[in-house]
Amino acid sequence: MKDLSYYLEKAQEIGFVEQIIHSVIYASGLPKVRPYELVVFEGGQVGQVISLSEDLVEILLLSKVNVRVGEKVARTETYLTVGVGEALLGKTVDALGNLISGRTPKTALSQRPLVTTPLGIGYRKNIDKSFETGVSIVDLAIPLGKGQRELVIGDRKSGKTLFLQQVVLTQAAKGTICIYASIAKRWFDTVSTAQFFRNYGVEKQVIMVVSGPAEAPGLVFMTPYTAMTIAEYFRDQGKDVLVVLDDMTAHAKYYREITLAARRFPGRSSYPGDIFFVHSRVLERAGNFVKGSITCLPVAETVFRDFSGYIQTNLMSMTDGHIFFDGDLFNQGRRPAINEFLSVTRVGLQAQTPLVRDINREITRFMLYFDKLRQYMHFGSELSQETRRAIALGERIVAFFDQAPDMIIPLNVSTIILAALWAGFWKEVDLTIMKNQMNSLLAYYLKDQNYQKKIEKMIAASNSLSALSALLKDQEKVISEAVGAPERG
Amino acid sequence: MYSDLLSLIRTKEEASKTAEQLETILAALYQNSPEALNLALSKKIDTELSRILKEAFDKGVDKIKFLKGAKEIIGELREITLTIAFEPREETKTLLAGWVRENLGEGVIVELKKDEKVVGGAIIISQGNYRDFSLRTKIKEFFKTQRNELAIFLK
Repeated sequence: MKDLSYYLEKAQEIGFVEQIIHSVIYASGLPKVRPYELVVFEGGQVGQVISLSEDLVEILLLSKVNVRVGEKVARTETYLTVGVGEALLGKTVDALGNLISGRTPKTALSQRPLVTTPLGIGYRKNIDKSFETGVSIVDLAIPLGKGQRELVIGDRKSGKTLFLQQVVLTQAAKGTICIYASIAKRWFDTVSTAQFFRNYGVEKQVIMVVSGPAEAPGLVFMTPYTAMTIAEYFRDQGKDVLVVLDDMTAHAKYYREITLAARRFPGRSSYPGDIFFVHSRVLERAGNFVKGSITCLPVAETVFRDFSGYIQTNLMSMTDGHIFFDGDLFNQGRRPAINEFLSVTRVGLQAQTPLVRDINREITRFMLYFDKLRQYMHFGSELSQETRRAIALGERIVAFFDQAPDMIIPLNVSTIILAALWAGFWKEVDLTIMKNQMNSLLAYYLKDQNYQKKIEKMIAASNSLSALSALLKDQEKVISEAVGAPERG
Repeated sequence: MYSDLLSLIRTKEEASKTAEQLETILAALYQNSPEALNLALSKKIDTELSRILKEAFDKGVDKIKFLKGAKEIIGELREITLTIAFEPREETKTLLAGWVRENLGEGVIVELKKDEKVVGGAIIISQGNYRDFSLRTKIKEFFKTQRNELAIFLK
């Protein structure tokens, strides 16, 4: 961006800062300035016009350095754009697209407007491709589709970010462009996330758009828009893109700060009336398109498991389901602490194979039954053999769903292990041994391509969980060759 | 009604000074004593302003209303900012104010700012519009556009 004198000469209009309220600045002058136009201050700071009154122009400051009353301000006659291109891959940028880490891109970036109208229905199509997360419980119990908007909701420190990192890892390995928007996160957390991607060698598929908590609120506000603008560039090239918005409750808080400073009328919980519009305007830009897809995983933070808050319910209503991270489950030691009973996927199932759909149906039904049985167990009643068997299977499924944060389980492996459990494999084995053998099966699958083909063939030949279980019972060797000799009752 | 008063005001500086003096007279009026008003009119404000106010008061106008109206009109005066390279003398101020009044009407005053960097000419700001007629810009443009010709000439 050029300096003030350049823009004064160009636009031949000047304004003077009259009043400063936090990050909102009121300036006189600038007679022909337009809403959303960028303006430049004497000290080089940049601002965006948010509204106009008869005498004053309301400007949102997008720079960290404050301006002073009496300073000059000039029109730029341009709107907020962000540089996009392949060269951004592997880079970390701020909300204005300026590089934070990495070398300056060699190839030129093309400029795209930050705020656009989402593509209409003519450019969209139904969710028809499965979106693998690499997390068994999600892939089987709450499966997602490419282009889905799935809210990730839960208390602080309940493992949301770890889950998102797993998803990025899985998708980046499959060639999906991943854009991770870190909104008002502590720098330490942002750096840890970037380090995670680097350690697992997927950083070339990831673009991080970050804003720290001490940034100008205007910049924090722009962060998800920037992420979505970059995503749209790749989508237009026909690529599949994953956008993680971590997190939108912080985004809402910063927007509340801006609007209260701008003296907008406060609504529920002091949020402005247009907070729903502000969030839906971002999320509407995701979806499955005729050309490419943008899968969006916005994050919402809850307090003490209460997901009936204003922003949380707003986000729920504008997404295609939610994955609930339960603080209680986390405290019980479940990893990931996903509560499958309180989680929802609205369009994900339609993108799955008949087998996965059947597994989902069976597993949901069975886990509900298992949960009821566990509650019944508290009465200390004598249990029938059938009930004891169901409880043992339930405990094994729960143990199978326990997954380390750096472990990626392909959908085929999740499917085959679950079918094996269903068929009675590992019935009499200690849980630790079972987990070890499952890990051996995963390692064997990843190593041996012939084994992969064999599994794929079995899965392709089965249309239901019972069919796959029956097939496994007939071909016990498929499991035993990978894990040694699993016990089966 | 206020044309005599407005004729006294040429610059922004003079406008604020006049507004302050009107405030002094208003304060004296609130003391509710003729002596206090006479003292303020004779000693605390400029002679010319005092004369204009006395004339107006002699006509029997509502003093408080008159003074408040005058302040309001002064507050509404349109400003034109001129940035020039020198400290203007009284004659220059009168000349500039006269030109402005003649061409733009009564309700316009000039704010004069000194900035030696403009070298000559002036930068004019009016209602947010900015025009740079300074010599500095002309010289800059000259060097930008006729750089090659200058180089040939200097060879």
